[in-house]
Amino acid sequence: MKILYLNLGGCNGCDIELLAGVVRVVEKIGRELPSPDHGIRSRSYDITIVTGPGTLGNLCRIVRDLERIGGEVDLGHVIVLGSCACGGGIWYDSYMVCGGWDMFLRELISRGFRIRYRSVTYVTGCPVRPEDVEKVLVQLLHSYPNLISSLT
Amino acid sequence: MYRQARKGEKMVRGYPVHDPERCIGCGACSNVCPTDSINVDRKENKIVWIHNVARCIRCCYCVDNCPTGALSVGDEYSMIADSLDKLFIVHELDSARCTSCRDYVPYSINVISYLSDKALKVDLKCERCRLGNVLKVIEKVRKL
Amino acid sequence: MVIKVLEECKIPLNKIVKLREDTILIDVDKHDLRDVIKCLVLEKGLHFSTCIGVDYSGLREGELALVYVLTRPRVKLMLRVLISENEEAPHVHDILPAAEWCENEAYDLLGLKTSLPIAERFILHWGVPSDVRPLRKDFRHDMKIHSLASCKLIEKEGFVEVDPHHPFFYEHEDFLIKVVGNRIVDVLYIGSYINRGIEKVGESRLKIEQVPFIAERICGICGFTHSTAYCQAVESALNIDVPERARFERALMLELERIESHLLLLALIAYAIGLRDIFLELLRYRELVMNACDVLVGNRKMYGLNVIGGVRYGFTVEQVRSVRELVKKLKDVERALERLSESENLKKLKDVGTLPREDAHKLGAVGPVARASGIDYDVRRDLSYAAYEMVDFDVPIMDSGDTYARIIIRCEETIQSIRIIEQVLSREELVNGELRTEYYPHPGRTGIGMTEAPRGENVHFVITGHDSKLYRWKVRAPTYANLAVLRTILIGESPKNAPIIIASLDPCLSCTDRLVKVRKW
Ligand code: SF4
Ligand code: SF4
Repeated sequence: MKILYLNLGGCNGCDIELLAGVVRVVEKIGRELPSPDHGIRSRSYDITIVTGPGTLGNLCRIVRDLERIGGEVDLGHVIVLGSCACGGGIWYDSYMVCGGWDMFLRELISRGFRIRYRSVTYVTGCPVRPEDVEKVLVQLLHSYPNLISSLT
Repeated sequence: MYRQARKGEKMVRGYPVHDPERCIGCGACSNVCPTDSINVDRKENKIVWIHNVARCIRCCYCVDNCPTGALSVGDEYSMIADSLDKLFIVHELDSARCTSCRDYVPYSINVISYLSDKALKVDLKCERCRLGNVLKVIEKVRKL
Repeated sequence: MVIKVLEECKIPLNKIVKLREDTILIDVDKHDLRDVIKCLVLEKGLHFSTCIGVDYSGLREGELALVYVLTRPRVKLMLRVLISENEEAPHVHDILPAAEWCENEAYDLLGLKTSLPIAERFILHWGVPSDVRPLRKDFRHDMKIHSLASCKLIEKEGFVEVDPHHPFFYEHEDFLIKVVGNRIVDVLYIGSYINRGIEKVGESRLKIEQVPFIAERICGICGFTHSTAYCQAVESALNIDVPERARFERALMLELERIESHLLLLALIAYAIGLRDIFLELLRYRELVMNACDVLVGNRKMYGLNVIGGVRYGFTVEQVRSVRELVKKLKDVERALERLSESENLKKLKDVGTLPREDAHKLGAVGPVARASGIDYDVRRDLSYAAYEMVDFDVPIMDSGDTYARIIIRCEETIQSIRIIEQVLSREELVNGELRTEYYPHPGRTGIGMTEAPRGENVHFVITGHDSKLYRWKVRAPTYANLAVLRTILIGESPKNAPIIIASLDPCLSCTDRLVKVRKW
């Protein structure tokens, strides 16, 4: 199983709660999750976790990544964590921010990249609570048994 | 002020819960919300209260500033959905009418019970009628 | 006392404006600035905090200014240099390296004229068109500049990326190091990924009383210290006195936050040096602190407690009682910390990444980094705020300045914080009394707020504006000051130690990159 973890410029709150949530998931399913990619390095992923409002700097980072791998990527199941990533949060209209994952995606698509994904789950909260991260991840792993079986 | 919601043993400060039976549509909440996630839309004959939970940061500052107690701190912190459209809470309120010209005023009908609860005599008039009344008085004073 | 020092540095006394008991503003002539800074910082040993570029055009016609902030115990000093539009801006960073980032930041964001060779963009992303100067008053905060920007990265030859220093997550900034043989010979730090334009949003869309919420979201680890510093800045500008109960509540949350932040860092360090059981144990203790916050304010992070003039809600006796229980359990963390500090793996970090005291002062290092190098400066004690005057605590100091010292200092601070929390929890004032003072936001007042964040001195500078809004808001996060020492502590070390040396600064980049920089040495 391949996990992509995109920190699009959040404040670290969600990221630390994600860490706490993942610790719980690992305890629950009894298997280690693979350590994630922090940038797009491969053409297809099973799970993509997104935090942060999508800053201009991160937009450029992802654009560079996508150019490197040929402009096409399959993100698999996307989990969007936190108010920032869901709707832009408190800086939704700032000049340096795209305003959430949807706007970020639109920005990428308008630059001609082909991005596919299987499903999106929005988890709101500022920051998200580890219970919710656990719930969403475990649910996802259970509804796609092939994901679990690919874990060691 | 701040009321803490209890959820089993834990206390959480969830997203604000809106009671359409009490809201007068004054828009104080949308004014103070730091993320602009609450919108109070004044349509022709109704007031639409929209809350974008996706963007809401659970600060509950709106709750502090609601004059009627229509907003309260919820005990649900998270809302999980597979599309952003499902993360909107929309409540439609009927607008109240002016007692003189029967035009709509920019408050919901709850304003009448809110004001009478406060033991105020309710004579709800739209701005035009209110100003018209004042003008009539001024005219009268002039003629004297 | 401070007046005597100012006199010795040849500052005319009639130029001195006392804004508040502990805040002094001095208008300095452009040509005298270098001498004044040289005298005050290099000879008299004042601490240089930061400098701030201000576009005064909305308050007074067509003036720009650079404000330099210096501190010494009990005094905050602002040196203001007014410059006109076509004039060249002053600079002092050749004599005082600590000023380099903030000066370049001001040149970039305000478009000040300078004869210095600053290449492309310094703070803004390098792809942003050159006429975008966000801190000018005619720039709108919601202008969309994404479509204008190009995403080309500056190419640097011979540099390699340092491994991410967090085990499961890391923020995006590039630490590039250049290696010859087995030694680091050059360091390049490229930030700018997390710039969210916070200052501009705080100055334009938000009202003065909404800004604490965005200030809190500058950082997800030490957010509360930012909102406290902001509130203190406005309180100092508008001369608001904070009720005692609010001061105690603030101190309690600040210390909980410090423990939480230190435990996270120490856990990550333990993981990095191969002590996995201590990593998990410290994270478990950290959970206790998070639970305490949950009990007190209903959220694990982002307490939303601060408002200007006090706090929003009062703690009840039951809440305090259950927090006391949690703190009792938390006390056992001492044993885990002892095991960490006595482990052989940690002792290997002695004499690694050393920062001598001289350099620490010149580069403006703050917080545990400075205290590990023997600089005895703690804002909680020296510029006391919240309730720190009314509690008893020690400030640990070490002299060796190496990575080991920086880690040990944090272990000791954690224990001191628990001590403070115990004292605060036993105070009557915590549960009785007024919560906040009412105020009126007069325009055109200047104020400075400082707190000791887990990572060091945190500076917020505000000028209030019309319509209950801020005119200027500047944040100087501690990491911003501490990253300046990177080069000193990394050069000459072996590259395999680089991640842990960087981690020992506890860089929090979401704070720092609320503005951004491309740093070239
Ligand atoms: S009554 Fe309360 S909920 Fe309704 S608009 Fe006013 S502030 Fe908002
Ligand atoms: S809780 Fe805060 S962000 Fe959410 S609607 Fe209320 S004021 Fe806005």
